[in-house]
Amino acid sequence: MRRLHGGRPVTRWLLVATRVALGALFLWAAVTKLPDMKGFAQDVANYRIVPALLVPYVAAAVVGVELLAGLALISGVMAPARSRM
Amino acid sequence: MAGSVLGIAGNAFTPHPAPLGGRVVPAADLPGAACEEPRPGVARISVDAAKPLCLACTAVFVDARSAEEYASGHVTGAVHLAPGEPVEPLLAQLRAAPAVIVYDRDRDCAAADGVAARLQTQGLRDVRVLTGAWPEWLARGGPGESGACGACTVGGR
Repeated sequence: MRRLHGGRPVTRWLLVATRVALGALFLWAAVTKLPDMKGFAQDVANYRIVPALLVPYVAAAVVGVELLAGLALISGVMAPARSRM
Repeated sequence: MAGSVLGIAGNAFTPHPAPLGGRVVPAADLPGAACEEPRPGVARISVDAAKPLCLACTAVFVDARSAEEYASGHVTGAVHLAPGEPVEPLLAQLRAAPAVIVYDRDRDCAAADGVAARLQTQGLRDVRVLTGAWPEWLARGGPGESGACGACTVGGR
């Protein structure tokens, strides 16, 4: 990992690109769920993992965490210094 | 934690919000569920309509669940035919019945639909799928019995 995180510009660019792409994936996942949260809650319920009363909260929390994770990855706010631009 | 708060806040601004404070049950557990949706070629029958046919022996019930589930309890007089099992050993009995009613474990009736479609391809005309499946049959006090399938001649049933 020391070699991967080394200071070479190409490696640094690769890290940033990967981080931003992953963030975009999280954001895309959240944004596509937002217009129909009721439908997403139904999807969560269909897995039979969460009690029926908690399903809407878990569905909302999943989308919120995806949004935050996406924004954090894209902005690099919590990223190690070597993977920032 | 912050994500949860953000998600709950975001939920308030969507056109179709998740019903916070309400219960969301799996689609398969909703009353009737997908099983009551009309499906081309496969008729439905409710538990209330099917019970008299069972008591009067004017229909043969086909259990499309697993052999273990069948043995632990099934509609009185039902034969066992799971998806993928050969239908030939039961064909004579099924053809002699005025009607055949197929049921399975889940309220969406996917397995029962598959078995019913196979029976129709064998030339059986009055084949219907029980809406509400086995749980509904039990809940509404339909007659049942347990044990292996006596009429089935294929091993392992």
